[in-house]
Amino acid sequence: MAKRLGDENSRRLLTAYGTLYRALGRLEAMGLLQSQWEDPHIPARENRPGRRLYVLTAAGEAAAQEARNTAGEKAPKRAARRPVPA
Amino acid sequence: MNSVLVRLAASCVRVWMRVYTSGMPPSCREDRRAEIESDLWEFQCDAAGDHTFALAVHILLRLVIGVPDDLGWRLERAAVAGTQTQRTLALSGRVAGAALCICALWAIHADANRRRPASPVAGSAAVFNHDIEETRTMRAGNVPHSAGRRLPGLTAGLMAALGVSLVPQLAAQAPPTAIGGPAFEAASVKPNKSGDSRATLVPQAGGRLTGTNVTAAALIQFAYGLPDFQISSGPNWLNADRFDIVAKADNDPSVDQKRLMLRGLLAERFKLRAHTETRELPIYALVIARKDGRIGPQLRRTEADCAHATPPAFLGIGPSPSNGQPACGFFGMAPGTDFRAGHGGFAFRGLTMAALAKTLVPMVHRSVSDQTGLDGYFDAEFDFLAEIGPPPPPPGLPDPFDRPSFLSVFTVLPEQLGLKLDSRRGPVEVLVIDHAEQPTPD
Repeated sequence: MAKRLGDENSRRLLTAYGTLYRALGRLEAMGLLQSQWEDPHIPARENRPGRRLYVLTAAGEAAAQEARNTAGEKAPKRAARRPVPA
Repeated sequence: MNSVLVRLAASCVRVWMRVYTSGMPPSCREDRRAEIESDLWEFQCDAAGDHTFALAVHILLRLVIGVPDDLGWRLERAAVAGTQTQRTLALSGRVAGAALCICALWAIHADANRRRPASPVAGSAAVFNHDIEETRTMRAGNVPHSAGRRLPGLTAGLMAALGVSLVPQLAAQAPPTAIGGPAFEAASVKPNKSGDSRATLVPQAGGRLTGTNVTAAALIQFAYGLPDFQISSGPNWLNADRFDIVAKADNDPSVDQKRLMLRGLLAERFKLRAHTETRELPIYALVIARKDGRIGPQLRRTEADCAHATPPAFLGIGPSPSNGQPACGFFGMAPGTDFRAGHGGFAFRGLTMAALAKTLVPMVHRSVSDQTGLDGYFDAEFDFLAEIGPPPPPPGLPDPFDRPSFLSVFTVLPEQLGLKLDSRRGPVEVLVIDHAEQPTPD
C-alpha cells in the first residue's frame, strides 16, 4: 500500500508510518475497512513478519467511488491554478 | 556500510515505535509493532536493488514525517480507552518534547543546507519526497539538494535526539500498570530460608494474596499470567531464592486485578523492569486429528448457553460447578471420579477450543494455538494424563492410582477427543526481564 501511494507524487506524505497506520485505523473505525492478520503459520513458513490484510467494506467502496468522483470534478480547477512563484 | 545505514534507520523506527506505544494495552502495542515490522520488511524487499543509501533516507523520512500522527494516535487511543492518566500525559509530554527536539534538529540541518552553493546532484536524487523538497527549495530561491547529502547530519540529529531524550526513558520504562497502577493497601515480602521445595501462591477472598516459599519467577509468572517459557532473561536468583509474601487490597478485587497489583509490588520492591518481545518459537497447533474432520467420541458440543454465561476467573483445574449453574468454563474431575477407589478422569464443560488450547499450555510447555476451525463450546470426558493427574494422596496414605499407566496428552487427545497437537514454529510474546533486585526489607 505504501509503495502504491509512494508512486504518486501528491500522496507520498501519506506513506509516513504514523500517518498511514493512523489513517488505516480511522478508516477501520469508520467502518470503511476491515482488517485481519493473516494465518500466523504462513509468515512462519515464509520466514517473514505477518501481514495485516485490509479489505474495503461496502461502505468503503461507496466512499472510494465518491472520492474518485469528487477528485474528477476538482481536477480541472487544479490544472487552472497559477504556478507557485519562485 | 550502506546496509548498516538501513539497519540503523529501521532501528530508529523501532525505538520510536516502542517509545510512543509504551504503557499502552499489549494488544494495541503488539498490533502496531507487528504492522511496523511487516512494513519495514516489505519495504526493504520491494526496494531490493535500489540504492541502500536512499533507502535509509526514505525510512527515516517516513519516520519523521509521521511523528505528529504517531503522537496523535497515541493520545486518541488513550482517550478512547479512558486511560488518560497523569502517567500517560507525562509520557506524552516527554514524547512530544523529544519529537520537537527531532524537528528542531531537522530544521537546523535543512537551513544549513539551503545556504550551500549550488552543486550537481547525483545518485539519490530520486529519493522519497524529492518533489516536496524541490518545491521548498525553489520557494527559497535555491536549487534543490539531494536528500542523500543530508543523511549524515540527519542521522546524527536523529540519533542525538533519540539518544539524549528517548533512550533513557525507554530503558526506565516498566511494563504496563506497574508503578502507578492499582496497588495493594499493604504488603509484606520476606526471604524464606526453610529449604523446603513446596511452594504455594494463592489469591484469597477478602483481597488477600498469599505466597509461601515462592520464587520471584513464580510471582512474575502469576503477575503477567505467563508460563515459564514465555519469560526470558533476568538474574539467576529469580528462580533460586524463595520468599513469603502477604498482600492485602483495601477491597475484594478480582484475580486479574490482583495480578496488576502484584506487578506494581514487583516494580516497587524488586525494582522489576521488563518489556515484551515477539519471538519465533516452537509452538503446538491444536488441530482436528481425523482427515474427515470429525471430532472424537468423547468430545461433544455443549448444550448450555455458554455464550451468555460469566466466564470463570481463570482456566485450569478447578472445583466442580455449583448445582444449578451452567458449567461453562469448568475443567476438573470427571463425574464419578473416586479418589479412594483409584478410578476416574478429567472433564471439561463449555470450553471453546481456544480455551482448551490455553489449558494445554502448562502440560506441553509451549504456546498452543487453536487451529481446529471449530467454533462454539464443547464438553468432554477423558482419562487422567501423564502430564497432569489426580492430586497426590495425603502423606502416609497409599496412592490408589497407577500413575505410570496414565497416557500422554499426545495420545489421549487424538484417541478420545479427535484432536492432536502439531509441532510448528510461530510468534510467541515473551516477557524479557531487563532488571531486578533483591527486595527491600519490610
